[in-house]
Formats: sequence, C-alpha cells, structure tokens
Amino acid sequence: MIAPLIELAARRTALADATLKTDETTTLRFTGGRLASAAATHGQGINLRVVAEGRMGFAGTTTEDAPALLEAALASAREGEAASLTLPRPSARTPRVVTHSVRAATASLTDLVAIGTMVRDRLAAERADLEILLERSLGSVRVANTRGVDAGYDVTLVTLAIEAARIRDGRRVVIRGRLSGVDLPALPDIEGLITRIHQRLAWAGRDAEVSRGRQLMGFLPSALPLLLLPVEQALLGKTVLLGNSPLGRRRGTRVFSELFTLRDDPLIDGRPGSRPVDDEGVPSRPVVLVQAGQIEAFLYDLETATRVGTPPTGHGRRSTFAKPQPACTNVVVEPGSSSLEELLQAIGDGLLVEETRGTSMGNAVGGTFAQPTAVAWRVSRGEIQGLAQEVTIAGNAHDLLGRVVAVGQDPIWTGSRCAPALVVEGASVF
Amino acid sequence: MKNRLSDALRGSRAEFTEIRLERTWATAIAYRGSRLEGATTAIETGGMVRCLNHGKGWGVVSFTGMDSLPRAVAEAHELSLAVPVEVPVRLAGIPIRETDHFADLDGDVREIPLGEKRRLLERLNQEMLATDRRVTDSLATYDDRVTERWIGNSDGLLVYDLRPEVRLSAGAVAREESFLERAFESWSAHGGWRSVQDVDHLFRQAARRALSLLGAPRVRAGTYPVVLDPRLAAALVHQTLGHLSEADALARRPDADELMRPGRRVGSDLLTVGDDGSASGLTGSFAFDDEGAPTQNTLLVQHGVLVGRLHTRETAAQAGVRPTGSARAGSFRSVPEARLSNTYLANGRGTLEDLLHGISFGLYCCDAMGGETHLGRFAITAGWGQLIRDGHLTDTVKPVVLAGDLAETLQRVDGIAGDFRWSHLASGCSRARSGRISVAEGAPHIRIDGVSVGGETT
Repeated sequence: MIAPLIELAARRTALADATLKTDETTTLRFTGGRLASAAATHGQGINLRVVAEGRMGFAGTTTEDAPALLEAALASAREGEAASLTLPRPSARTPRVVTHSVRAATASLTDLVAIGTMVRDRLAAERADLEILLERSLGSVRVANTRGVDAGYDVTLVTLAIEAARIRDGRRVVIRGRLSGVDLPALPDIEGLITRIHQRLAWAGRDAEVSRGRQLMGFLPSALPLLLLPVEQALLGKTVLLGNSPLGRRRGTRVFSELFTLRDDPLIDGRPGSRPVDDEGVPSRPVVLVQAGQIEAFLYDLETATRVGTPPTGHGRRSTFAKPQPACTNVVVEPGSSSLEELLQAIGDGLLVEETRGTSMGNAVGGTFAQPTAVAWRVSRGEIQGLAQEVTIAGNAHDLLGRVVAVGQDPIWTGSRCAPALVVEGASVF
Repeated sequence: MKNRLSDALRGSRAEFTEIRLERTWATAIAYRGSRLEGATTAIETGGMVRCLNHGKGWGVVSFTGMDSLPRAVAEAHELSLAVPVEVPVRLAGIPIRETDHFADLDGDVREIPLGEKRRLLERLNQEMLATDRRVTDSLATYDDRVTERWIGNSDGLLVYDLRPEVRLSAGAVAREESFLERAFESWSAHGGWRSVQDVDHLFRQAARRALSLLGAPRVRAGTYPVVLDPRLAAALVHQTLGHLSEADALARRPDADELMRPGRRVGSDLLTVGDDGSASGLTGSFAFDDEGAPTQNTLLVQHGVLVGRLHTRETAAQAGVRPTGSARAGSFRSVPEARLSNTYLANGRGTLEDLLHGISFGLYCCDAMGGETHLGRFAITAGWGQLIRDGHLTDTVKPVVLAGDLAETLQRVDGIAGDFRWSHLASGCSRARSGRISVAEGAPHIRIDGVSVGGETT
C-alpha cells in the first residue's frame, strides 16, 4: 500500500515519506532436549511522515487504511514543530549488500527442527540443562517518498541461541552462545559455537576466588556491549544535538586508546544490521566513527542532520509508531593481534568477563557502570583458574576504552556487533 | 468481532484453541526541553491464536490486522502438531462464561483533540522548566490508550473488555557549574482525560527534586538502619518476592523454585505480601487475565512465610491448584505468562514518626530508580534520601544503592507503618516473552534494622 499512500499524501503536501516493513517469524524452543514450543508471528507496519505548512507530523498503523493514516499524520503535523527537511532523491546507484538468503527463506519447519536437534545431540554429552532457540524471520522493507524514491529489499534473519546450565554447589551456571545472520547457520560456525560452549563448561568445573579492587580486566565479545553501548549512544547525532553526549565536542581529538578503532558498516554482507538504504531512503555507507582512538564522525538521520546542518549518513531507523531516529547498523571493532593466550598473559592476574547481568543499570551515555557479572573467569599468572564467584564490576566505559592494553585477533559476531576481546586497565571488582 | 472470533474457533481442527483479539487507540506526545519531539495517534489491531493437541505442545501464531485470523488458526494447529511432548500439557479449568466488561472511560481520551492533549503537556513541561534557571533540560511525556480485548476458547469461553489507561512522566535535569542531576516523576491511571487534570505538582516536584540533589552529599557506604518510603518498599517487594512468585519462571529455574518452596520463611513476622488483579481502579486491574480466567487477590507471603504463587492455567495444573488469573501478556504479540498485577505489602500500624523514633543515625530512602534481583540477592537504587538523626529527618542525600541477601534483609524488617498507599507510577514491568504490562504496586513505610548501602552488591 506504500505507493498509493505516497500518491495520496502528495495531493495534500509536497513532503512525505513512508516505510513499510513486513515480517514473518518462526520461533522454535527446545527445552530439556526436546522441542517445547513452536510459534509464528505475521506482522506489518507502516510509518508515514509529512511536512505540512512547515510543520512535521508522523503516524503509524498496522492496518491497511491509507486515508486514516494520512489524516493521523496531518493531525500530528498541525501540532508539530516547525521543521525543514530535505528528502533524498532516487539514488543513481544503490549499494549492493546481501540481506536475504533463499535457503533461509525456504527452509521448512522440519529443516529448522533438524538444526535444533543437531545442536542438542552435539551437546548431549555435557549433561547440562539445555535451552535452544531457533528463530527464522523473513520480511521486507520498502521506503518511498514524494521526491520519487521507491526502494526496497527483502530480509531474512536466522538466530540460533543456546543456553547450557549446570547447577553446582547450589549455584546455577549458565553458558550462553548465539549466532545470527541472514543465512541458516553454517556448519563450521555451529561447530565453533559448540566448541566454545564445551570449553566454557570445562572452565566452569572449578571455582576460583577473585581478588577485589582495581585490576586488569578482559572483556570477551559477549560482554563488550557494557563498554560499547555508551559509546554507540554518545556517537549518535541526536545525543550530540541534545547536548547529552560526552563526545559531542571532541570530534577530531583522541579520546580513546590508539588500539581502539570502531566503525558502523551497513554494507557487510549477511548480518543483522545490513541494508542497502536506510529507513528514510538514504543510501547506506560505512562510517568510521573512531580511528585509532580519535573521534571521526557521528551518525545522522535526516531530521537530526538538517537541524545540525550536516549531510545525513544513512542511519535513520523507524519503527511503526515512532518517528525516525539515528541508530547504529552493524558495529565493528577493529581486531588486533593478540591470541587468547596473549590476552590472558596481558591480564596476568585479573578477571576475564564473559557476560554481565544486564547492561543498563546506571548512567547509559555517561558510561559509568556497576554491574554484576553472570559469568566471569578468574585469570592468574596468565591462565584461566576457574569460574569466578558472582561479583560486581565497576568503571566507566569511556575511561576504560582509553586504557586498552590488548586487542584480540579473532572477532566474533554477537547480533549486529562484530568485536574481538579487549583487555583494559582501570576497572574495579567489588 | 465476536462473530469473527466464534467462526474462527468453529473452523479450528485443533483439540483446544484459544483466540485473543485486540484493538487499541493510542496517543503519544513527548517534549525534550521546550521542543516538541512528536505528537501522534495510532490505531492498532491484531491477535494471537494458541492451539493444543493430544500428545503435542503449544502452537502459537500472532498477527497484525484481522484478515489473517482464519490462516493463523490453521497455522497454529499445524505448529502444535510439530511439537511432540512426552508429558502432556494440561490446563487447569476456569469458569466458562460469556461476559462483557466495560470500564468507566473517565472522560474518553479518544474524544479529546490531539491539540488539547499537546497543550496540557506543553503547560506542565513549561512549569517544570520555569521552576528555576538551573533546570536546563526536561523530558516530558503523555501517553493514553483505550484497548478492546476479546478472548475466546473452544471450551465456550467468550469474554470482552474495554479499558482506558493514561500515563504522564516528568524528567528534570538541573545543572550548576559542572554538576548535573536528574529527577523523575510519573503518574499512571486506569482512567481517562479526567484523571490527568490535577497532576501539576508532579512536574514541579521533579524539578525541585533535581535542584535539591545538586548540592546534596553522597552517603558513605556502610550498613545503616533504613526507613523505606512506600514507593521504594513497594518496588522492593515487586522486584524480589513478587517476581520470585511467578510460577512459570520458577518452573524453568530449579534453584529459584527451591528458594521459594512453600512454607519457607522469607522475612519477619510483620511481612504479608499479595497480588490483587481484582483490586478496583488500578493500572494492574483487569476483570480477567489473558487466558480469560477471573483475576483475584492471591496471598504470596503471610507473616513472613511463603503461602502462594501466581499461576497460568498450565502452571496451576502442574501444581494441582486453581489458576490465579495471572496469565498476562503485554499485547497480542506476546504469549501470556504468570505475571504480577497489583502487588502489595500489607499495612501495619503507626506512622512514619513511630518508625523514625529511636534511630540515632540512619537513612530515609525514597523512590525506586531500578535494580536487579538474582535469586536470593537484590540491589535496588533509591532515587534520593534523607539522613535520619535522633529520630528526625534532616539533610537530603544523593541516590543510594541498597543491596544484600534478600531473606536476611527481610528478616530484619522490624517496623511497618499503617500508612499504605499505591504508587501510581507509569513504569510498567517487562519480560522478554510476554512483553511490557501495566502493573501497580503499593506499600506503607517500612523500617529495616540494617541494610548494606553503597555500591557494593556482594
């Protein structure tokens, strides 16, 4: 319904754009080694934005009623802020990126069950309490505006998530692993994930006392969101515009360690954040955010870019009921040169954090955290000694990324983030 | 809609079919500082079908719009057939009835123009910003919704309700030199336009609180006697004993299940805790839950001892008890799980002054800003506090974290006042599978003879 909607909107206003997203997701859950539930969702949502008499409005719906949606957006504009907005024109060349896999789209329920069963069988010998989730989404995104943009692409996303839990001495230790991408998980990737879980369960066979206070700390990719989220938030143009970003005035200056390089890349094939155009019809492009510790760029959607007076970067994201906002796509931390052994040597005596409980307690953009660990490994004399008891780790993400002492050579994808392990100085254990 | 639902039920080939349909009218308005972030309205429709067959598990399908209902019924049946189970899924019985429940719309928000709602929020936001020149930023939001819900199943149940809700939130940022403080207030009501006509004080209060925290000292970490205000006491109970009483979460966690074994003592004799979805006029109040079971008042802890849990039809059958009307889902997109509704810590006797009496040095802790509970350990952040000196409230202090072993801490509750009140906050409660639901929580002032205060949670 997006083309007729834009046509209808064009009769009432010169500036309108819309995004239509459809999604069909199948979710299988295996509990205690058996398929426990099968669920599906079918959804579509359309979000319309208009600028009428110089004011911006927006509205969303899950129904097919285009006239009602337009009226709601115009009513929103009557109350809206005065706004100027330059919508993009059709792009001469849309970048190519893989967002869809025919194999994933056509996989039957039986095919999906087979993947879950195979993972279960490969982990059966561990005698752990297993939870396996297998989810396959297929959908489409279509963006159109009154300047002639009408772009679209199909998406698939397959997620395999594993939880292996063991109770030992009254404590339940849960080792988690997750793969996601547009294709069905490849066998070597599944093997890699299973090997990691085997290794973690073996490490967890022993407890090790943790020393308190300031120490060198390693963050495995699964624990890195604790450090990366505040930085990602602070690099969004909107956070900068609102004056809430500690990095807002530091573009061009070195803020982080020289070992830390970060980019946002929507054009990597086959990842959850991959897309040829953003949700406002701006062609996608990679953006280097931090180069060897120096702040290089911020991410913008159309409205924020217009207000700041800078070109949009193609990072607008919109959901059905809210207006577009800048958001990261695929976030990539540049790998370094250290093997796991070298990372452990760099930690020496300290903690290697695998997973924290939550990532958002405290001041998100400011980066200060005090977070309980869910799984962490005690390192001493450069070797894993065993599972650390649950402790609270504290520090400031911005500060710690300024004191990176080693970067791993093997990046791992966790959702839409690709990162190696980092060892930092200056975090504390309570 | 009822006819569509009945037709779809008749068309199902599954042994048991349950259908939930929803239609929601919603408004959302937000200001950041003096700039309008957006003002919009939306209508959303959708539903969920769950099917069950002999020797098979649940097949679940959710969908937007209404046209896909027949297709969803067929697909849910097929998905159920794909899930073989060894232990059959059983559902405890619920009253089979056909009823309609219309809540008082309290000034139907659907009839109030968007402009009038925007002007209300603009005025409240401006009052907050105008409190003092040091209030430099704000985030103010207004949300309303009216939801129609139809639930039917193949046993003959067919229930309907119409329900309004409004939420306002006020966030104030105060700056002076290099200091920055935030304070947050919110209000929600199981009501309509009339219920938000007298909430100006919340916005001024958020501004004044942020200002008062600017010069406030931090508390030195340590163990203190503390008095919790009703909001913090209620949040602590919701987050700890409340969540630990949700039967399906316990079924997946043997260690938590053991911790919450019925008959076990989890606190002092003074503690009585319950959850009452049938209480009238609160944001967690419903005539029936998302399986169509009537809501009720369920006692969870009586005089410090565990006596009950919150159940869905499935967990009730497993435990051999009656469902408690606690199967709740955030919307048609989510599967119902055993969740809290209106959670309370029962009233005691006396006043705040009685609790303060006899404390030579301690802390009065107020408002909850979030926290974490993991099994028997908790950490909760109070938004602000006041020092207690010789039985009197004195200086305001910055936010503090209270943490420790749950049972040990609750065992030290040595005073509960008789000033119970519901919090009416707009915060809600979220879980991954069953989504964000509206809840309420209430408590009187309570005193704990020694809680670990500071950043330490171990």
